[in-house]
Parts: sequence; structure tokens; C-alpha cells
Amino acid sequence: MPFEPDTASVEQALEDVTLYNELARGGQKVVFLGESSKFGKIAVKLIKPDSGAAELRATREIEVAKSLADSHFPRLFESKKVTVCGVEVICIYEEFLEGTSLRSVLQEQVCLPGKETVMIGREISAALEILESSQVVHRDIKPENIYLAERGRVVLLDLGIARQLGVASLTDDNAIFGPLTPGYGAPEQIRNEKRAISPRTDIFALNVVMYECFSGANPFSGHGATPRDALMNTLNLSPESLETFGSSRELARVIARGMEKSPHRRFPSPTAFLRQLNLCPEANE
Amino acid sequence: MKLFLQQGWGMLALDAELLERRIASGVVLSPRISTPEQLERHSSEIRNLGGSVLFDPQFYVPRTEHARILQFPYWDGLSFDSDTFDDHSAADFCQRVIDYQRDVLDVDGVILPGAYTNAGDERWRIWQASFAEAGAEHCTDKPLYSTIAIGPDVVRNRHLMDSLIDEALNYPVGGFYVLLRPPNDSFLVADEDYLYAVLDGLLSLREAGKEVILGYANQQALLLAAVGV
Repeated sequence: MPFEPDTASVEQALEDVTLYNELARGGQKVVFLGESSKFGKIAVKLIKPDSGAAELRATREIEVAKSLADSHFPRLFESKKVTVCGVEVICIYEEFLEGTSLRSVLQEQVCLPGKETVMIGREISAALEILESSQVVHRDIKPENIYLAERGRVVLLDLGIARQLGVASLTDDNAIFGPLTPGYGAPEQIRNEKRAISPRTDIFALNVVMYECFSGANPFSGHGATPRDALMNTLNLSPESLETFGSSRELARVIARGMEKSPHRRFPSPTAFLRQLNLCPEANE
Repeated sequence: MKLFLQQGWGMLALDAELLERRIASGVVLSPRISTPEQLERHSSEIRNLGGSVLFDPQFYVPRTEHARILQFPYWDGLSFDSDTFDDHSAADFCQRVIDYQRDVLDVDGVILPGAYTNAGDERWRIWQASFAEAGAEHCTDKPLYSTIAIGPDVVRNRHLMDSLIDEALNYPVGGFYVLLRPPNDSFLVADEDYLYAVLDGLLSLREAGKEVILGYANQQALLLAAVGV
């Protein structure tokens, strides 16, 4: 049964928050903009897990988010279980970010100059360094999950399908695909090769995002490709060099290496990627 | 590049001589070359000469050779038949291999067991990952090396070799003890594609900060210095 609570019912369940409006709704999750006397303006997330695994996944998301005290991630203030309309749900109070998603920017501008593409790469690889040190792989880096907040702050959102390395996987071993977004998910995610999932998986997606920023189209899912085409393209297609779109040779090479099909040929870590990115002429424009 | 001596049966006396002349920096011992008592004495002798000691548990050796190997205490009733080795025994066996190396031989680093494969199948991969995880859990005070013992069909198959390296990079170990069975068992390999695949795979291990020890190396293996081995 879909979880579709109205604002009044939620407000009644959360006595310490005033709700303003609904920000997003999908599946078993609803997000409201609210105000708390303790935390100020906040995003209120309500998640109704539809299975034991989903509840465990939501709990892990909260644990991971709590451990990431850095400006590249939204701050998680509080989490608790509440009953809304007779249903027990997980409630998260999270920092409300003013700004816009990278997807909105790309919809408006189509592509970004080299300097801004590199800036996105630098900021998200800094976020990936933090995830790596926490043994977490995000697994869903895409423009929708990259938020350009106030004062140049770049924030990585949505740890919903993040994987904690060294902790038992919550996804089905026999599934044909692992959890991913077609066009951004790495080949090892598409093949559901769990033992090959690593920070290099996020490096792949970040480089796809950078390619899209600079060229104006996703190299695998752009130009009207269906999700199935995007998956096949990711496995089989070698994107045209970014130099064709006017980048420096150095940036084209860095991004091509970041998008290598086999993880072992990509950069060994976000730090190694960042080091090479900083050597590109676009980094010093 | 460090040179470890890996002698056959009856050749142990040469180890001391070459270590004294500083031609080598240590040895890789193996159960096939002597009895446990001889090996323990030799380990102590090498250490007294300032040499490093490693021990290859030879889980990958074909069954026909097993008589001497089974004298070593880490087998302790387990069948040496690699084909029927129970997945669940992997962690327990691994722990015994580590205990023997650490407590009896006082090695400088622990080489984990690893089966030989020329197919790189899923079962072999599960063993490899299990040995590495069990090793990391049980041994935190010595460098750990996963054994990668592979045949030419794995090396030549780009997809297999890629996925094997992709997984190995995530093992919680500091390095790898790599054993490569050459095409046609030839002493020197003339197959350029094979050599390229070896260089490509080992380069990724080195770039990830993993140490690589190539077992049973000959002069041709010096070319691996090009990728930092």
C-alpha cells in the first residue's frame, strides 16, 4: 500500500516541527520542508519500510549519514520512529539546503565550462574521499544527487543505496542487476559483481557526470537512449574523447581513465583522481 | 626489488651462503622441500642471518605431491583434495595456516592459502575472498599476502583476468603472492599478449599500493620491474 500522508497528519505526529510544504514524494518516502525550534529550517523525511530489508537499509543510511560530519553532505540532526496515520515510519530531520541540483543547472545551461566541470569533479571527489575513509560506496552519483548550495558549497545527496564495505550486502545476490541508475551505474554494478564494488565504482559515475557537464550529454544514456540501451552502452561503448568537445587532452584522458570499464584500470582512489584532475589546464583557468 | 630465495629439496644449505653474501634478502620456504622440523630449524637459521622468512603453504599443489605436505600441522585431518574442500572450512583452515607461520616459523609476513585455477570460476573466487577475509580477521600483526595461483587460460582471457584483478584489489590484504603457470609450461614465455596481460594486471595491484611477490620467478620476471614489482 502506498504511503501518502497529508501535511496535517504528519504535523500532528511530529509535535516539535511546523511543516510548510511537501518537497518530494516517491515510493515509500515523503519529504517536507519544516521548521524546528531546535534546528531551524529542516527537511523532514518520512520513510515507510515495506520489508525487513528495507528497514535495515534505511537504518544503515541513517548510520552512514550520521558518521559523515562534513560540508559535502547534508547534516543529519535527528532520527526516530513515529506513528503517522496509524503506521510506524522512520523520521529523519535533515539540514535543509538552499540552492539547486546539478540536474536543474544542466537542464538550463546544457553544458558547463571546463573550469566549472573540474570544480564539480574536485568537490565530489573530496566527498568520495570521506566516503572511502568510512568504507562506504555511494553507488548513485548522478546530477540529481549533486546539489549546488549557497556560497559555492557542493553537496552529495542520497545515501539510500550506499554500501558499507565489509558489512553484509542487503541486495539480492541473484539479481540480474545491482541497484543503480542506468547511464551512471558502473559495469560492475550492472553485472551485480558485488566483490568488485569499491570506491572506483563511484569514480566511474563521477566521471560520467563530468563528461555530461562538459559535453552536454550523458555518454551512455544521452540522445534518447532507453534505460536498456544505457546499460548496454555502459558495458560496451567507449565514449568519444572529450577533446572532440573542446577539452584539453589532459582532461579528456583523466575522464576516459575514470570511465574505464574495468575498475582496476580506473584511478585507484578519489585522491589519485583528484591529483590528476588538478594537473589539467582547466583546473587552473 | 627484493630477491627471495626459493630452493628445492636438498638445496637449503645454499640459502645461508647467498644470504651471507647479501645476494638475497630472504627466503620463501615451502612444505615440499623438507620435514617440518628441518624447516623450523632452517627458518631460525635464516632469521639469525638477518634474512626475511616467508612460507608458501602450497594449498594449490596437485594432490600427487601431497605426502610430504601433509606432515605439516595446519592440515590436521583435512583432506588435501582441493576439489572437495568445503567452503565453510576455509576460515578454519586459514586460521591454522596463519598460526603455524606466525607462531612456529615466526615469518615476516603471512602468505594465505590459495587454490590453483585455470578457469577462475565462482567457487574459486569465493575461496579466495574467504581466505582473505579470514586472514584479515585473524592476523593483524603481520603483513598479509593473498595467493593468486593461476594458469595461462585465465591470464589470456581478458574478461576473466580483469574481473579477477578487480576483486583481488578489494581483498583486505597488503599484498599478493603471485604464481603464474606459463603457457605450455615453457620456461621462457614468447607470447606477447600473455606477458602484456600479466604486466597490466600486476600494474593495477601495484598502483593500488599492494605489494607483489612473484613466486618461482626466473630471469624473464625481471621485466615486471617495469610495473613496480
